[in-house]
Amino acid sequence: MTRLGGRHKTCLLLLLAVVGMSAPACDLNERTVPTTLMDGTPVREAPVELEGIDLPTVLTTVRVLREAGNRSGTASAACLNGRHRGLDAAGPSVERVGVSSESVTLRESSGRGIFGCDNSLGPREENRRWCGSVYGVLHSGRLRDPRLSIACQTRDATAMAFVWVEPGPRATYVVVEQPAHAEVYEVVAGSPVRVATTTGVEVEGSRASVDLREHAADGGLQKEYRLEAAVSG
Amino acid sequence: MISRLHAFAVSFVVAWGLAAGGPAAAYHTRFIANNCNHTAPTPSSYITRDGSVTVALRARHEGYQWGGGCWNDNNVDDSPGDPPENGSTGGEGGDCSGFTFKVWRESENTSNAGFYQWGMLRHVHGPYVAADFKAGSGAPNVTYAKSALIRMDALARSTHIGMIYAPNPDGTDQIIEAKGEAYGTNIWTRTYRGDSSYSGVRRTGWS
Repeated sequence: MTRLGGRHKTCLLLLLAVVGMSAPACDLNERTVPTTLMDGTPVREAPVELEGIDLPTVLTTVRVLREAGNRSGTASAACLNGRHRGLDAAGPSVERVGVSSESVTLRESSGRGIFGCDNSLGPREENRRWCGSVYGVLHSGRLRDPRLSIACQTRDATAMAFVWVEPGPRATYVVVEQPAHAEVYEVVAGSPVRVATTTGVEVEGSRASVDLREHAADGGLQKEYRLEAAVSG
Repeated sequence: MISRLHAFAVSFVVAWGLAAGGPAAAYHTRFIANNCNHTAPTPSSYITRDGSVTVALRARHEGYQWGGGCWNDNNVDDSPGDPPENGSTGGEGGDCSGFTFKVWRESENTSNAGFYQWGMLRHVHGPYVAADFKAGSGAPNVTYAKSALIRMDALARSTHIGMIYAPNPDGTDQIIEAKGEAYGTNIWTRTYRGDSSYSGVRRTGWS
């Protein structure tokens, strides 16, 4: 069951107090809980209660593909053969769909890095499949930089930030709080988790601050932190 | 006597290790904090390739900073030896994509193809990484046939971008680029045009 936080309780009380009046007490447009993901899939909640999360949860979808480059018609193949032509992928790819974001994460066959593509509902040139692309060099299997991309936008042209998160070993879920919901990403395939947010994006500084939480399989909070990232390289 | 020598040797090694390892772990320059600004760019209705050469050459012999975009024009890297891929070291210079963004005088808004003059000491990187340029992301940028690239067009792959300062008769190019912490920003002869991992990129709208 979803718990209501203090802010939402206040909002609810105000709404009840003005029943029958025409003006809403809260900005419902700003705080509408999404009902579908970007691809039209109905929203599902996280399968466990996540410690300390007051907002309704939205579980993003994730798909792991083996040898993704050979699977024509997949998002992974579209990313590999479009944005990253010239790179060779090996191992599984991870495709994610959130409320207003889509991403693919692939591993380079040389082992030097990971790469991927970002997508949103916003405008882009020539109706291209992807609005952002990214490559991260691995050092002893890990990224030194979360590879922020702010090239994608929402439908109303608000800048979005995409970053890779490398969760701790016991994390099963990575959570990004949005204004009306908490977006939940499952950790899979030992791959960094590409998360997206519209909160904390500073276009003028080409930077973003992303508030993140990592939870264990039982929902227990493992870690809560702010990731500061800048567009680089 | 042996134990004294032994103790001295151990102390020496420990002291040397601390002295050598300390600064690397704590590396941080004040170049950006002391020199750079956040002044708004000046919109411009018209820029030329020659004008961008001038902008680019002012960065020549300056440093390289991951995620950076601010440099002076003293022909010295004022923050040499920054740890690589560390955006918080506060050093001088652009990285490859930040350098290109500033030389191509682009907007921080990816939907805006207009021209914006950024001051040399304006700390700005812009919204694009090398992989974005390679794909022609953003309103000002398009992919372009490598064989048709001319001066101040660029060659980009997923991890790097450099601009063509001058094509060479043998098919190579003199590339002006922010290459890395160990190299800074300069002009080098490169074979990017013949390398299949590189794509051609053009900044649109200029002459």
